[in-house]
Amino acid sequence: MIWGSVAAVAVVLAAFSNSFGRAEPTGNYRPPLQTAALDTGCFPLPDGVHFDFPFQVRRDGDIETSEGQRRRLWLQYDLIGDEEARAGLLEAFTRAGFRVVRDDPLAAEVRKPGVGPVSWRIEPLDVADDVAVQGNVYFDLPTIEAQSDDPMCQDRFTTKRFGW
Amino acid sequence: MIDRLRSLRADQWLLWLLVAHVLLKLAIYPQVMHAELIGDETSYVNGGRALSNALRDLVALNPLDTAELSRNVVSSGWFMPGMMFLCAPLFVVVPDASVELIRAYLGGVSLLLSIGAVLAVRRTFGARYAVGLAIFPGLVPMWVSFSYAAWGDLTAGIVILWFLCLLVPVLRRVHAGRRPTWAEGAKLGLLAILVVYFRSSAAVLSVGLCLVLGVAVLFLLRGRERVLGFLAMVLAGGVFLMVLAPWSVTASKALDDRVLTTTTVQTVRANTFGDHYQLCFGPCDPTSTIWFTPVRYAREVSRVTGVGEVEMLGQMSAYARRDVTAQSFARDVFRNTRAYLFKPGGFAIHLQPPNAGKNLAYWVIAGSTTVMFYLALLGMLGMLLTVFRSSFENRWMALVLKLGIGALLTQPFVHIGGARYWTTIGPLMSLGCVLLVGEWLSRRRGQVEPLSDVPADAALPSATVARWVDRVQWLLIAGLIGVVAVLGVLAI
Repeated sequence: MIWGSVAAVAVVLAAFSNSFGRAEPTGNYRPPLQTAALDTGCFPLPDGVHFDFPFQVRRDGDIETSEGQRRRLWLQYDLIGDEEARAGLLEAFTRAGFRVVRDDPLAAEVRKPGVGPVSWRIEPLDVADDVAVQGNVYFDLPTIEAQSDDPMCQDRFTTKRFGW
Repeated sequence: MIDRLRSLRADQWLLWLLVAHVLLKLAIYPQVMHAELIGDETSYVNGGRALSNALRDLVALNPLDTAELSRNVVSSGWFMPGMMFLCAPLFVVVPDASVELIRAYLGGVSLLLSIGAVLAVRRTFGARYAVGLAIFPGLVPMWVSFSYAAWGDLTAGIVILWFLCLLVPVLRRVHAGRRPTWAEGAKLGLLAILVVYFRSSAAVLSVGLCLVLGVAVLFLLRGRERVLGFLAMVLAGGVFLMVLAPWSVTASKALDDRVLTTTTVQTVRANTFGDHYQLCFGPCDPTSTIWFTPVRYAREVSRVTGVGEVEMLGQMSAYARRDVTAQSFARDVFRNTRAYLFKPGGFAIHLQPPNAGKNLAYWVIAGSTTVMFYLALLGMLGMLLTVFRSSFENRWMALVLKLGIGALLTQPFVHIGGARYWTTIGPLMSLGCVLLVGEWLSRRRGQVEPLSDVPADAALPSATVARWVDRVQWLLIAGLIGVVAVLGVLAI
């Protein structure tokens, strides 16, 4: 009897559920994933440089150095070893017109007139080959301003400009 | 006066204690009604909102908003949706329910569930146990505060009572030579998975006790009864998996990776025992929590590599746990246990009006909770260290409670501790205390059950079964002391 009444009330409420309006869940525990930092165009790499290997930007931002302001960019490369990362980086910059000035196994410097020196340091992670994330690359780059007023360029979780 | 109190029968006590519980609930509601949803509560409530919309779509024959369901119900696969289903009816009727109404609704639902459970305990185990529950946790202010909250820990604790109200009688009957029926098997499986839907880590308890019952069926029954009884337990397993499957499939589809119950275990292990500064193969993004940033990172890596998000969480966790040693693990287990069992009032500061601070109400609630909880904790410890022998009823109850409490206390071995998890174990502590007092009284009065009989349909004489159950009890005591001792030595 009691359960029957409960069921009847439930059916009636369900039938009228649309007339009460619609709930608005916020989805705050699963926010949409931001566009990858270098895909936004907010703070791009020097003109024409793009990497063909999988990577994610971990941190970006400017720091004060003895040569004035410089941009520090930290990314991680995935699924490839340090040799391939080294080759991929050199290829990306030479393809964009940079000249290789120094090429050590885990570090390099390249230059291009009008852009200035760019250098990087590779730090392979001590992980097995079947781990996705394989190593870090730390870049020293010329600074760059935000290229657009898009609010996305102010979102630190997108730009990864959390400050150093 | 004392004579009059004595003449009050246990049922009258129970009635008055339940009235006191309701009054306490009414007294505490103003304290928690304005408390904003805290942390994970928002996720459960959002899930409830999305499910209410799903019902609207079903009724109107519209296509389901799978994106909304995926984002709010599955989210990152952290929480199984038991509490979301419990919240949904409110949002069916009041889609934009205020926080006051949400808390009132949750308080009402938990009241119905807990009174139902106490009555089931009274029917199954007797009024003594029901009275015990009505006092602890029924009159513990913090437990009452939590009964207005959307986390599933407290509800899981209540559903565990229902589960035990079925499991223990079945176990007793197996001892008497009668197998669990098909209906009991199905119900056991259903209640076992229901517990998991409210608090996934309690799966150790519900699955573990079902396995123990399965073993008892194999040892204590003979012939056809044994085969049919075992098949009833297989049915329990089947029902368990059948009810689990919709969640596992939905979550796996939404996250495009394999999810069985929840995805949190790996990140939890890393944050608990590993170096969470290394969880993203280096530090994670700053300015967010240790739970959100690893998932964002896993999604970022997953996006560029095609490696599944959940698989990534596992790889990240392994990396962060590279330097875990026996010593660091043992120390962390102690730390977690401390947080799990020794800070029962830890949430009082949150479940109160915004910015209320540590005012009088706070101290009354946190203080009385702490005193009551520590007393029950002492009782539980005494129960865990006692071998119950005065009757078979006590033996089976003790065995089940010891295993159940042990199963819940595995949590500090895998999970960071917190001040709200005790609401799951609380009811078991209460049953344990009543059991202990009952055993003492029986022994003092010399009421010890004779063991000369062989129950009519039983395969084994009572004395043999008793000897084995007592051995298991000794083994559990040795195990408990052993685990604490080993951890202690490792931690030093």
